[in-house]
Amino acid sequence: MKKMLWLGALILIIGVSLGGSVFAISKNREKMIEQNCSNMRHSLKDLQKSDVRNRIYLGTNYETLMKKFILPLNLRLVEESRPESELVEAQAKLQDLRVKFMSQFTNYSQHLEELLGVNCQNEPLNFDRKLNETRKERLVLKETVAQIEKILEDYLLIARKALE
Amino acid sequence: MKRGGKNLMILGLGAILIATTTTAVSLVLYHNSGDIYLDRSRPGFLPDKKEKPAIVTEYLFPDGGWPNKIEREKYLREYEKNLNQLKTLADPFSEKSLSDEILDLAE
Repeated sequence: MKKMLWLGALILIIGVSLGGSVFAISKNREKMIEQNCSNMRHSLKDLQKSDVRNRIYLGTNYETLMKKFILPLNLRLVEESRPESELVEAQAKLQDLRVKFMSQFTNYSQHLEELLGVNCQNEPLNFDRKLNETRKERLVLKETVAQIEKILEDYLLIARKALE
Repeated sequence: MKRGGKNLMILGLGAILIATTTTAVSLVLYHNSGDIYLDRSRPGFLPDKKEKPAIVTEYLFPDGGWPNKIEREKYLREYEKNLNQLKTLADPFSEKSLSDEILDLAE
């Protein structure tokens, strides 16, 4: 029983020290966060605005390409009994990615807003943790944007062949 | 207090309670649906004059039957034009914007 208690305590100590080190940052970085807090908040607010602009620009243009080009061509191909499985597949993928893009943007924006809500002067550690989380969400979003662009490019290549 | 006065107070409080509840519910929905992040009527999020507008294309896919060669070429041309316009947005959501260098955190 005593041994078990010792083992439990040891595991707890190791766990706490490992957990602590995951979120630990250098004193220098901590100081920099505190010192640059006001400038960072300003940059993050500007970024938040430009992200909304980009989201709307991209979202509207994806919609335009989908509604005015992709859907009408795919429908016509079916009507004319010339279905192109690759084009239909691209349309389905694009639809999924657009939904993903929207939810990922919301997710990212929530993280960015939470980051802005952290008092970086008093909570540099928490700010750094939130900053890393927001970076991850932004990367996910960026990858989805790249995937959408790739599919739109591929669609054009396949459509070129189908319309020859 | 007279009975009429009491009833009036209950009615007023009830109205305030209903208004507060419905407002809270709509704000939660507005936030959770993500609409808040797209709402450009929020203070500080109004569109700039210099802002790049989204593509507005007048293109319409031709009606009825298989499009002829000219129509097919026009389709491809217009598609490419729209795609190229989309690409003019330089590296959207790049990781650089949140980098230590931009935030002045580089050691």
